[in-house]
Amino acid sequence: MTPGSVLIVDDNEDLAENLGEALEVEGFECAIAHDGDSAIAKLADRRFDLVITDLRMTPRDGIAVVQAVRSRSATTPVVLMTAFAGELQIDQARKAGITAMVAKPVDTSRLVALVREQLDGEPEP
Amino acid sequence: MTTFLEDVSAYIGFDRSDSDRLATLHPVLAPDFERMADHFYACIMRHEGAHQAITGGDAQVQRLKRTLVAWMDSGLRGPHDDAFFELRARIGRRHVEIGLPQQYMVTAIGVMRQDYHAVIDRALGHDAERRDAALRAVDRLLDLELAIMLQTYRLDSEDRLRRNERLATIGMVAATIGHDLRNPLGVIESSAYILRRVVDDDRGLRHLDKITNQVRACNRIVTALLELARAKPPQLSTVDARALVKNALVMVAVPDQVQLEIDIDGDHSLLVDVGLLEQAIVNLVTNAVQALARKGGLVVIRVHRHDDAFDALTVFDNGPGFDPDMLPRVFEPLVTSRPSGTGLGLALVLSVAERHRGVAVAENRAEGGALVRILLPSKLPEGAAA
Repeated sequence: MTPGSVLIVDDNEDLAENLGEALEVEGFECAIAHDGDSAIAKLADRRFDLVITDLRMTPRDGIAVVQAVRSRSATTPVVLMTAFAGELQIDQARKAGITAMVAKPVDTSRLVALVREQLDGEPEP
Repeated sequence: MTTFLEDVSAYIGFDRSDSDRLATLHPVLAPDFERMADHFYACIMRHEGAHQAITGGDAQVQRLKRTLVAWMDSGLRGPHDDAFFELRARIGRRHVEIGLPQQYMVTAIGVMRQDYHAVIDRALGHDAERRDAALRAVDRLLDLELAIMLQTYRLDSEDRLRRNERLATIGMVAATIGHDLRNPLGVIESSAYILRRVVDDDRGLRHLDKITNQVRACNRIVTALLELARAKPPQLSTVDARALVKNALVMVAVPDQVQLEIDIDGDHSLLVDVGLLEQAIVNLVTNAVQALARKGGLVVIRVHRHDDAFDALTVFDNGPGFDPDMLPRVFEPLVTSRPSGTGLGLALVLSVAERHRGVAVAENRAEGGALVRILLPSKLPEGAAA
């Protein structure tokens, strides 16, 4: 049994792949999407234990991803990654129901620790 | 080339005979100086807009009254030379610093003029010729005073405007570049993270360390740019000064040959935005440490009460000091004397000070070494919420 499944959404393909690889090394099962639309399609296909998403993407941004997760589950942790968000966007993201926010560039070891912390003690459904 | 003082004196028609007449007028008017100062500040405190520039309460008003009496004293006594001009220019600059709208300078001179006229009428009313001459001399003096203050005010606010425009441009560029650089930096950092688990020889690990450290350095520059561009008002809270300084110092690499000294009264607290102030302290101490890196030396971080209205945070060192040619421009963005400097460090320090409605000054110490002082209001402005 893996420690959990994670969906990583970022329009920078290298970054999404790297974060996925770093989490896979830790034993997590990872899927990757490069925009909001394809992330939402993946969320419709199956459930993930945790979602990490970038904010600024097109088509459909990170807020839309957060809303898609929340429409299916009230408890799945969602981590928002952002390089430079205005107050308004941060506020929107909070309202949409993010669990945590990390500033870009993401410190990989910190992100791994955050994912572990979020999934620790989460009972398998 | 004529100076501004000569030029404007000629225009107003203020000359030696006026200086002489004012000097003889001094003993006649001096007994009324204090009463005039009381009246002047009573007018200011009655005025909604003008009195907002006074944040230090009654103690500050008392101090300002003494300054006004000295101003009347030196205005009448003369000599009306370069030193007189410099002192008046400083008043104009100070008014820009505290954000006093310039129309208040015009009305303030108007109040002084009325009071001078009343005193002259009373004292010399019996001698119409002498009275008229005195009124003319005082009018010319006040015209001169006002011209100097407004001229300095204009030059200083133009400077400020230019700097703000530059900051706004940097801000826009920074927001774009910052965002665009963060992803590539993130990729480099995460690749180094993954490689660290694969590489098992010392040489490879050493290079991974270098990559990680340099990525962090880039991140700091990007963060400084984004901080500079941040338009958000500071989130003020009361914090222990020593804890604040110590937290900031954790982020500065200090080589063995440089000593740090923290000089803070036991439980001094500051009303600041912690993130912004830490960044300012990091920048100031980093500058000082870099100035001393070669020969070593001492960096002092001092926090003390400046006066009733301000706390002072001062960082100084015993290094070579600022290049005197650069000194007037050290706070301008993109101005640097170090080949590897970004020219953002002190620009950010000034921006932090100004966002707190404070000021930052840079100077070379008489004993040698550079000094930067940030004055931060000790209290919230009246009517502001924390």
